[in-house]
Amino acid sequence: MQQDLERIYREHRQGLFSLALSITRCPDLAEDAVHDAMARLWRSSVEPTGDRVAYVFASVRNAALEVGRRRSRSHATQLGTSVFDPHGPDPAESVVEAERRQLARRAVDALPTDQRQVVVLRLHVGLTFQQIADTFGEPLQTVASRYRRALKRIKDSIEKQV
Amino acid sequence: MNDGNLEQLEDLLRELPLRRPSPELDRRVEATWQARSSRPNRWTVGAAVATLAATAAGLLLILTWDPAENRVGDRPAPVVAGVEKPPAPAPPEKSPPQPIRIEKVWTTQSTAGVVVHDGDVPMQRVHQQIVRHVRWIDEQNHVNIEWTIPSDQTVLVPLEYN
Repeated sequence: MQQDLERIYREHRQGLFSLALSITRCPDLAEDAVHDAMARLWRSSVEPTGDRVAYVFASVRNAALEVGRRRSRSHATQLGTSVFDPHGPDPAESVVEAERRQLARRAVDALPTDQRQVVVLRLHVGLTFQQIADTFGEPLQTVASRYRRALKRIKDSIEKQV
Repeated sequence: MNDGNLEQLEDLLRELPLRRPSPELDRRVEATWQARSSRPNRWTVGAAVATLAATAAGLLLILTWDPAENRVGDRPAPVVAGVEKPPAPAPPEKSPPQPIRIEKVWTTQSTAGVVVHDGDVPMQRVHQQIVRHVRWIDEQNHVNIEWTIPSDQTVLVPLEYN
């Protein structure tokens, strides 16, 4: 498992962090969650039988939920951090395009946590619905429906503000 | 929401750059993996203790075994640790009897609490008491030499909790 873990971490480091950040909404806590999960998996003697990528994502998700539960006041100022890059718009893009992107960012950040996780895992990490379902420990149809509801919510939010 | 709108929205969301984890995350994860790899886990500690115990038992058996009692015509006596048997009478031989050496070792081991130094890994204190008794018998010259060496030591064994 350790060799697989190293490979999965190298390939999905960004995705693991983004998943944790979409839950904790705090970069420091997200990094703590990824670190904790990697440490636990490294010393674990359990050999996962299913998709190992989904298994690692599930471990990070559990660690993020756990870290989020015991978040301290010291992180209060960072809570609510977006999963997206905070840097300003590309100077080359038009004002309209920049505004549209900004609305999309806000709409994703405003999603319920479960929906935000599915959007990040599907669109930014590139996991299949089956892998996301394994990560959540839920049926594939439940995850797919949640994804569609999230997209509709984002679309409605953007249209409302345009 | 039709599929065309869905795909456009997915494309828009995919283009949003994600917030990146800090380089510190890689350093922390790699340091933890390195530390875990060089530190014995609870299974290896358990195996080491079992090996040590088996070795000590084997050593005790070898040192307390007296070949004289297995000679033809001698009555076999049970081997009891801690009880020294008188040397077996030398068989009627033409050559003079050679000096014989009898060595016995008693080992007791007990745990003596758990210590933690500066938030590091908890260490189990193991108290070991070893008594080594050696006896040389030279029947030809009527010389009998014996000495006892007690020793006492405490070792620290790292504990791993999964």
